[in-house]
Amino acid sequence: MSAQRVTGQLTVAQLIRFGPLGSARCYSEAHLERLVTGVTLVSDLDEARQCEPKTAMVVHPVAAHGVWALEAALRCAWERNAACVVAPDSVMVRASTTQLAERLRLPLLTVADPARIALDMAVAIADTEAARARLISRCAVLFGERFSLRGIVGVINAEVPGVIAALVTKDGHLLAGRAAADTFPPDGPNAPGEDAATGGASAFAEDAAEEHRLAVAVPSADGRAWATLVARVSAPGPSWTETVETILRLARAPLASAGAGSRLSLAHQGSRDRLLMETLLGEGPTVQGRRLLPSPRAGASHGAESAVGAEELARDAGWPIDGRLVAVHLRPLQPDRDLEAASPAITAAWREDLAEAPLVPLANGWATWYTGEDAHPRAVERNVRRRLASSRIPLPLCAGVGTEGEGMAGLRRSLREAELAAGSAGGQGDQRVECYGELGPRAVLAALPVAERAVAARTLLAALLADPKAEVLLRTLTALLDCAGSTGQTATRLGVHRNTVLGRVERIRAKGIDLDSPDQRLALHVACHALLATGEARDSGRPARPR
Amino acid sequence: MRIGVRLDTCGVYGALLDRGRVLRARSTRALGDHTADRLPGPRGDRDPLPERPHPAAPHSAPHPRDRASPELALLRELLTAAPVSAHRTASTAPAARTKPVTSVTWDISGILESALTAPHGSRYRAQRVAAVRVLPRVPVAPAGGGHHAPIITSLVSRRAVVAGGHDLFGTELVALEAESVSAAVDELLAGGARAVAVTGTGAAACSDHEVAVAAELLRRRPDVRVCLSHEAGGLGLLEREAATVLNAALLEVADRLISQCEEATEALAGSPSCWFVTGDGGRVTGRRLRWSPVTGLAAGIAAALIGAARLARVADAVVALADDRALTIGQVRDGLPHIEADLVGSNGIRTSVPQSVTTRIPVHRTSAAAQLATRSRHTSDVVAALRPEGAELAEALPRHAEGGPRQVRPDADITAVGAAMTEPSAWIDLLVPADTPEGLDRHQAEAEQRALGLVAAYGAHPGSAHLVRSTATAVGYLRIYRLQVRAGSHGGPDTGRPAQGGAAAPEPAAGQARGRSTAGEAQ
Amino acid sequence: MNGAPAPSPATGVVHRITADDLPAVVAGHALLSSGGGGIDGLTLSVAELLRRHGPVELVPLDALPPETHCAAVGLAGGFAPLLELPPGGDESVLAVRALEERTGNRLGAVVALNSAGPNALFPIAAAASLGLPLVDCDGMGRILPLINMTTYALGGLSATPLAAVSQTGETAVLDCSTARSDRLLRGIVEASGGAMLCALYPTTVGRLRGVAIEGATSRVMRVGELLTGENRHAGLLAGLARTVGARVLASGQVTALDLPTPSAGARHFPSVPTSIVVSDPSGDGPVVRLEAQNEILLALIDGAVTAAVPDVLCLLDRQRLQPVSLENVALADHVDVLVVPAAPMWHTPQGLAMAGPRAFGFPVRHPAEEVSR
Repeated sequence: MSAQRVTGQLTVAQLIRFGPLGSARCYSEAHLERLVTGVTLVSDLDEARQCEPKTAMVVHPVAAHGVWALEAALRCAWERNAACVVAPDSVMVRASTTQLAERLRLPLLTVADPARIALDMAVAIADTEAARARLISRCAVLFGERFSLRGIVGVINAEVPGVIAALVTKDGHLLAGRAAADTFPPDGPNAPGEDAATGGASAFAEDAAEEHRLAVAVPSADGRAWATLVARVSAPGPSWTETVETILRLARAPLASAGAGSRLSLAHQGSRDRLLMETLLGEGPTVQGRRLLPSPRAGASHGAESAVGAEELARDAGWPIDGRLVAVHLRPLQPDRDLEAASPAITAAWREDLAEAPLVPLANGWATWYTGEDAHPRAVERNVRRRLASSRIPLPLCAGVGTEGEGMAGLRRSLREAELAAGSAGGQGDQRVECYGELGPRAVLAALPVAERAVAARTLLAALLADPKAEVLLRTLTALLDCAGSTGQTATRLGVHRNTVLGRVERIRAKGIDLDSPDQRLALHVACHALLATGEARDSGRPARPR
Repeated sequence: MRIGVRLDTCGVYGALLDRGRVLRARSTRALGDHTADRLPGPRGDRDPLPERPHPAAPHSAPHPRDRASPELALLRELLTAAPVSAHRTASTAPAARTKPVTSVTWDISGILESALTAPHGSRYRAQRVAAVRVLPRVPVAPAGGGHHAPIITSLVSRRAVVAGGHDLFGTELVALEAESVSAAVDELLAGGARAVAVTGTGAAACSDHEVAVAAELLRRRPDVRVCLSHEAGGLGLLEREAATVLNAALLEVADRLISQCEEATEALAGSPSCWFVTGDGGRVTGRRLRWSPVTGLAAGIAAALIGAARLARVADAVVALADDRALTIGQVRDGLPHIEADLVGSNGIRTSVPQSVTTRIPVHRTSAAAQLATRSRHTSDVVAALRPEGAELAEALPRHAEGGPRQVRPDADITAVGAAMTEPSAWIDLLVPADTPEGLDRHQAEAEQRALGLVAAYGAHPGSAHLVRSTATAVGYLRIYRLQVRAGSHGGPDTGRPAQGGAAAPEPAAGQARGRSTAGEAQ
Repeated sequence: MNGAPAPSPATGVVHRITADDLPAVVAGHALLSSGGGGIDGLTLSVAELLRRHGPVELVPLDALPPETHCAAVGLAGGFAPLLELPPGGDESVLAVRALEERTGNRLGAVVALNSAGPNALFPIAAAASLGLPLVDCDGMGRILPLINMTTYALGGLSATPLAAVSQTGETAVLDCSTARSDRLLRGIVEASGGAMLCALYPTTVGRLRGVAIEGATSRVMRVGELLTGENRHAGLLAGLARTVGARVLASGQVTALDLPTPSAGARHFPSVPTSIVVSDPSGDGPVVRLEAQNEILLALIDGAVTAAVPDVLCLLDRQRLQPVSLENVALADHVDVLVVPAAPMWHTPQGLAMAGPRAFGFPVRHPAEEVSR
């Protein structure tokens, strides 16, 4: 693309020579000197009849029923004094259509993706000097009228053609705008983006090559680096990029002041919360020589004194740790996920109300708690289940809910219970929520280190695991053992008919598993939990979902 | 050099061509009547052809040994007559003399056409034919079937209906009954049928029933001549039957005629190849025409259209051919006559065999110009005399310089000239079911390859075969396409076909043209 | 069966159709059907029936008592099957008898489903074989692809019960809604060879008043007389303008023939669209594009819709002065594009909804709607 700065209005010829129509096939070469002041994208002939004068009429593929429809569009373009007609290349343009275009003195061009070209042309047309000035001043005025992060970024997305903008934290958390602005894959902006509107692979490459990412650092009110305003520019040209960058810079001050009101960045807050939580739980008990919760960092203070100090710190931070509360532990379904990276997104997604307790990142998941008179495990379970189902949660999670507690001590206990319950839920799939109170002794099973047991269990249950429906059978067996052999309860818990359970039990028995021998039952129970917890029974690559 | 000959009931008309130019022409007024021989006037003579016996006629005297074959006598004359020196430059004349004749192309359509209506006892008379139809049901009106064309009715001595037939997809509608076939065959053979035309419903899509009937006929009488409608191809039971009946009726006549022509050609020095013009403006070998004489009908007009356009040096034209009473108007596109299948021929019969699209309009000298003007394509109009008697009518049209048509006046029979200029060709006409554009493309590509293969098989120069037209026309209501493929070939170096764009650069003026020895044309 | 009302005496007979009239009918049918192939087999059969049973009385609608039972006769299917399977001659009797048996009413008159294309001839054959008068009216005034696209249906008549007979003699009687009739019949037609003769729209003469296009058969004959008798181009065009209101939309040479991909809306029509361009090859004149699906449905001149179905669009060969059928249209043909206006009933909003361009998948307005906007 040429660096030529176009000062006046663009002509069709200039759009072809320097602009987005460079890849278009031109059928009628006369009258390319027509001025183009805008773009009209038409998706039916009635829209074509309303085409704005002096605009480029871009015929969307849905309007191109055939050559006749293209000719009808040409006619409308002529009647409305359009500058040129751009059609999808899926329409076979033959001599007669070219002849018509020439008769009507209208340039006729075809492109692979008219909708995209329409956008690019809108950008190019907006990129003349006068248009640039108009656009910049309009954005500046609008920035002054918006007081939220979202509103300010929204101005860019709405007003600047071909630009997708977003405000993200340093660690990639989206604060405002459209996530698509910052979704270039790690190897740079040249790989295919998610803009799948285009057809073939070649179009992808071409599009991607023309995309450009702009980033402007936005300081917090105290002047430190806080967030980045990023923009994906789909039709970059040197002068246009400059324009977009100018607009992004204009947005910095309004963003900084809008952001100052809100607190520190979430990531910053997350690490602070974690430190505080680890301090709070520092003297927690251990189970089988293993700390249920991570030990506080070396160098952190020990003893009751420090715990009291920590409690005060928590109150200072605004944590609601007085009165009745119920703890919740969130845990990723796949334990090997990088939790540090996921934390800000999870934190942001979880929060509905700033007044509630923070979601505190821990080494193996996230902890939080519910307070108030209605902090009851059942209600909490329902609430957690709903939140886990939210599409904003970026990775599969399960959760455990503790029993009610009072004050700091109660929180500690409830948190431990929640962690145990989460361990139990972990074996059972995405969005699974377990309440410690209903788990009973199974919590012990869930707390057992599973890796070594899984090896033994695989041997023990080899016949069952060989079954094509191994996972279903294993789940049924586990539930049956959990329910002390009651097929009715098992059916309720699995949400299937009792006859289904009976059928599966028959199948399980057919695999040589003796459900009636009391001395085998515990071993079997442990083995089942171990396998479920390690995901052994799952089909390769497909995460299990309950039912 | 090439020779073209028009064979008619009233004479033999020959032309010797070199690179698309007429070197010499001879005619014998009537077969076996050697006294009517004459030579055309000198080239520079603007007088029309007819009724002017050439004073210097020594060469027209037939050699005694040629008495039996006027065709051969004519060919010899064409080769031996001294060229009229005034009409060639010194440089080209010797070359012309020494060059061998590579081909002789015959138009026998005149005799074939008259054979269809010839009375008993005529030398060339089409034989009567038995017609078998394979139909799902015996027709009620007309009872037992029938044909709308009087000539077909007169040629069919006996009719039989056999139960059977397919639809256009090739699905069997009614199973062929062996007993009904056997009974029909019995009856026809008992009636003395020597040639049988078999037309099956849906045979263009599936020929099984026709073939089974033919097999039964041949099993009973191996010497009976059987023609099957799917060989003619095309859509329409009656159209295919007409083609098949004509074919069967002409087998014998064509065989005799072709043999005579081949003998005459073989007797020439240098053993030139022997060809016959077909109704689509192409040419085929005698062997091919013996098998399918119906394609030789309407060949004369096709050849004349080619001759007139070629001599006018245009590839694209409306051509008006004048005889004493009428103008026959046709079109030439890219050097070949515009043809269609299913046309009603000059004999009033609609057949599936392609022929040139022509209109015959009876005109008087005074209205000829107006008639031509209303049909003009505004590209290039050419007028030539189809018969000597038509010269007067052609003359009556305005001159080219006055905005009238380009007049072509070779001192030769225009049909014979055109015949010499023809090239091997092929025509394929079939129905294919197609649900997808890809399926249609595949069928069309196959048909195109077959047509090109046929042109090569019919004797085209290697590599010269090309597609003239390939159309896939949607057949209404059903997902069926009618594929029509016409293939032609470029001739050898001696054809003198106008190059592409020849129409745009015609010879400038008549006098100059003749002076430069572009013989045969005059304006 | 109810007693059939006696056909009225020959008062008000428009014409007695004999075999001698057939050439005119044959010539005329082609113009009102975007051309059409040779139908020699059908003509031969109808001529034989007329000779055998005597002339057919062509009567105007009001010449018959209103209670006279009648039904439409017409072929459903394609040209090509008709050529390959010419009628045996008794199909119309079989179809009418099957319908009479189903309805219990003996017919007193025959009407045409559509007096265009081969369907201009079949009602004559039916009337001749049955010894009944033929009412001079039809339900389309042209060819339309569905048997329920008629002014009969527009006026509320039911297309069914319907009896259909194939050339193989197979008979089917359909009892269904008018809306479903074409779809159901189509399956049977395709299986039976591609064309079936139908007796349908069983009704009475009284109920036909106001819903039939009157004078349809005599109109075809007048057009045919012009096409067979007039050999001057100007004279023919003037005659067609006089008799059927035909006007020349454009003249030129066929410069392109396309087989475009079918538009989405056209899927349920079993035809394959064809696009024809008529223009001046030198590139000076207007570009006329004709969009066709069996029939020419839309004419755009320089991209503007200038004529559309249900008006009849057809090509007239300027050289031969004959209609050019879509099957036979060829590149470089020199043609006039003619438009023959449809009956006023078709230009009502309901008529255009049923048989206007949008019914064929073209998202455009008929020029008549454009004017009234």
